[in-house]
Order: sequence, then C-alpha cells, then structure tokens
Amino acid sequence: MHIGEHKIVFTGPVGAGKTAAITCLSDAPVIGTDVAATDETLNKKDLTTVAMDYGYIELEDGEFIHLYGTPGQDRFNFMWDILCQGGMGLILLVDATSPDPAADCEFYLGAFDSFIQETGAVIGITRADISDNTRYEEVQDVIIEKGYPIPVLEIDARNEDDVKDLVYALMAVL
Amino acid sequence: MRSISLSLLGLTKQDHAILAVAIKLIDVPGTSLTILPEGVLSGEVILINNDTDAGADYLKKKNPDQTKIFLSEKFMPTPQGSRLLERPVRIHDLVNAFNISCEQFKSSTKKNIKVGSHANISTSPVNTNNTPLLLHEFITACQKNGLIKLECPPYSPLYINGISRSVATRASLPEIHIIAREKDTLPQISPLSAVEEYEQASSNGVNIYPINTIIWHTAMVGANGKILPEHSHDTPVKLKSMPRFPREYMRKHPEYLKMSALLTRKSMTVNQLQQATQLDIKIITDFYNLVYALGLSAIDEKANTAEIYGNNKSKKSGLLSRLAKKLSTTG
Ligand SMILES: Nc1nc2c(ncn2[C@@H]2O[C@H](COP(=O)(O)OP(=O)(O)O)[C@@H](O)[C@H]2O)c(=O)[nH]1
Ligand SMILES: [Mg+2]
Repeated sequence: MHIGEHKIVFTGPVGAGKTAAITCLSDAPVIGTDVAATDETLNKKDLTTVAMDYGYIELEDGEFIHLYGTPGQDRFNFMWDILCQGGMGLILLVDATSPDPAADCEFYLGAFDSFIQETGAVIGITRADISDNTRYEEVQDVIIEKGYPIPVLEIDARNEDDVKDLVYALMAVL
Repeated sequence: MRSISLSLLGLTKQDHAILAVAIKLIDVPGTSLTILPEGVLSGEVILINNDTDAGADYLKKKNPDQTKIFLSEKFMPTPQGSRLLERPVRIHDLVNAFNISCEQFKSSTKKNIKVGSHANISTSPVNTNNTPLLLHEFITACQKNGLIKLECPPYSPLYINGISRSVATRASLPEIHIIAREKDTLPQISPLSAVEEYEQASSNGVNIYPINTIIWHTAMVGANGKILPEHSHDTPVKLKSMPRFPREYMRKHPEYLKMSALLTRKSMTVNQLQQATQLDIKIITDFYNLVYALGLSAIDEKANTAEIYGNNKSKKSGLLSRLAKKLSTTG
C-alpha cells in the first residue's frame, strides 16, 4: 500500500460483501494481503499483520486504481486513517439482513467523516435480495440533510453490474 | 414560410464563407434557415466544427430533437440523426445536408426561439409541449391534496389524486408520453368535486399508477428547455439528499447523479448548474422539472443567484473518465 496512489476504499461490517464487491471489480483475483502494521492500541513496538482485501483495476494507459477492503476486526480500526490517505473515495457496504444497518451506517460515516468530506462516499445496501424489508428509508434517514451527497443503492455485492453502479454513483459525487 | 433555426459552433472563417453561399442555395419551398446569434446552441439544426474542442465535446450531447451537422478533418462515426461532412467541405454537400434538414422540419411545428438582448445559452423556446403543464398539475394536486381531472382527447382522461398520490387512467404509459409530447392541444383541467367521483372514475379496471411513476414518465419526455410554470432558470433550489433514482435511469442519465450531487451541497439555479456542468440547458431543465415535481427539491430564497460558477474540471476528472470508460468496456 502506497500513500498517494489512486485507490478506492471499501468498508463496512464483516459479512457485508466487501470481498465479494472487490472481486467483481478487480482485474486480478482478490488477495488478502498481510500488511505489517504497528498496533498502537497494544504496544507501539509490537508488529502485527492485518489481512486486507486487495484488488485493482488497470486503466488503458497502464494506470491502476487500487481497491482496498478494510480489515474486519475492530482492533485494526487505527489502520483506517492510513488506508484512506490519498484515497479517491469510500464505498460503504451494509448488510440489509443485519439487525440495524442504519446504526452501522452512522458508525462508519462517523469513523470516516473527514475522509468523506474531503472526497466522497456511496452506500451500498447489500443482501437486499434475501432481506424481507428494504432498509433504504432507515439508511436514508441517517444521511438526510448532512449537506453533502451520499447516494444509497440496494445492491447484490456479488453482481458485477450492481457494483459498477456503486462506482458510477461514487464518481458522480467526487 | 417555416423558418428553421440554425446554430453555429466553432466555425472557421472558411466555413462561414461556405455557409454564406450554401444558405442561399437551399431548395425546399416554404422553408428558410435563420442563423441564431453566436453562443445560442438551441437551434433546430446546428452546424459544428468538430475540429475544435467545443465541437468535439458536442458530439457527446444527447438532444434528439436537434439535427447536428459536423464538419470534420477526419471521418468518424456520428450519432444517429446527425451528419458528417469531411473537409474540405463542398458547398454542394452542405446545401444537400441543409435541404434534408429543411424537409425534415418543414412539416413540424415551429418553435419560436426567443433571443434576448444578452443572447446566451439559457434562451429557451417559447412554444413547447405539455410536459411542464402536466408536471405543474401533478405538483398542484399533491400540494393541495386535491383531485383533478385532466382531459386530452382522444386519450382516456387522467384522474389525479393528490391525497393518495396516484393517477387513475385507461391511458397506457406510451399514451401518456404522447399527451406530454403534444404541442398543439392543451389538456383541459377540471377539479373533481369529491373523493367518490374519483373512486367512481377509477373503478372498473383502470390502471392506477403511483404519481411518481407518471411524473417520471412525463418528465422524461422532456420539455425542450421550458421550465415549470412559476419557476425560472434563475430559481435556486436545493436537494435534501441524493434522490433514489431507478437504476435504469441512473445508467441512462449519469448526469442526473452529477447534478443531484451539486444540488445536495449547494442551492443552485438552472443557469448556475449550466455554468458548473456545461451540459445542455434542456437536459438541466428536464432534471430541474423532474426533481421539483417529485418533491425532492425545495426553493431556497436565500441562495446567491448571482454567483458565477466556473466549469472547474478538477485534476481527477481525467482519471474518473478513464475509469468510467474501463467500467463500461469490461464484463
Ligand atoms: N445473497 C447475497 N449474498 C451476498 C451478498 N453480498 C455478499 N454475499 C455473500 O455473503 C458472504 C460474505 O460476503 P463477503 O464479501 O465475504 O463479506 P466481507 O466480510 O464484507 O468481505 C459471502 O458468502 C458472499 O458471497 C448479497 O448482496 N446477497
Ligand atoms: Mg472479506
């Protein structure tokens, strides 16, 4: 991971579909990279590795857009700031079948607030295909009158067209 | 005499010289071409120098009502309904292209292109179709919780119910498109006296549509640059959040997302949106009409309508367009 490269960051709770979404977009098989990181919550000198999803999109001129999925475990949240540096924007995935996707949105939008203000974000409500009720309105309530645009789409994170629509929507707000 | 309006974009001196001759040789009785002032791009026909940046950009503009004639150094594919003349342009070919366009517009209704003293792109045709009027009725019904009957023979009447936000009619969606597109007949509008009357009218197997569906379909017909009654191109509006556009429209109109994003951050007028996006004023007006009719935007009286927006293409816009290209070519 290099600061300053073109990258899109995928975040959201475990099981929301980050790996699936990155897999849809990536030109190469998605790998869980082990990134060496200093876990400041434990001990500054302690080196630990964090598994992050990584994929990329290669543009026609040989430029790369890197795709990173944030690690799931809470104790690696300190990684988020570093991960976002120089990033193009954020794709937040929440699971429609989870107990409170709106609360998940609130948490992640808060955690990534400054990054979102600098760049932009889009929310994908995943597993809408197997959810009994649409969670669109609840999620929409979290972002209403925030003063900046966050598109919300219901998607299947395993479906390439759906994930592309998320990226298109993200591009529109950047 | 049917006078057909002609816009010019980026023509060279040489092009102007050829144009001056060609325009006199047009041979379609009962028609003439009227050249619009520089910068007014809303003509029924537009002659474009494709070898300039603005000209090449214009290739991507989608306005099916306008006939485009491109002058180009190189052969290139052009969208349906447009014509390409390779350089060196022969007068004969240009006359031919004009003749075909004149034939095409001869029988259609004239659009009055009003050109103000400060000619600019926000100039809009005076006569238009029924779209703005229909949208206005839908808005009124919803705002007043009213019941309205709208007749446009020979089609089945539309019964608009602002309380349940629905429209009952025997007319099909394609017929509603036709009613909206109609230029010469105004629908008759009358209030319904009571809910019972609506219910009676809407019984016996008529289609009941959510009003938003009908608003989408009506707005998508396009209003040819005409804004809703009681609104102007200088009315500032703001969105509370990004609208939930149906996915098929999102793909068809990525510019709607872009404009929604701008209007979520800031109140803007149609004219300001035009400065900021450089999109065709007709596209912006259609978007404005749509989001207002859907109740997604609100007028913001306090906004600064005098602020000028540059077309600030950021450094990343090149990267984003390459990414969009890649996404559209794979899978
Ligand atoms: N039905 C359904 N399954 C999904 C969807 N998105 C992801 N999955 C599945 O849910 C599981 C977890 O997804 P994953 O991408 O690993 O989530 P991550 O923890 O955020 O990386 C996998 O088995 C996916 O195939 C969706 O939209 N619908
Ligand atoms: Mg994963």
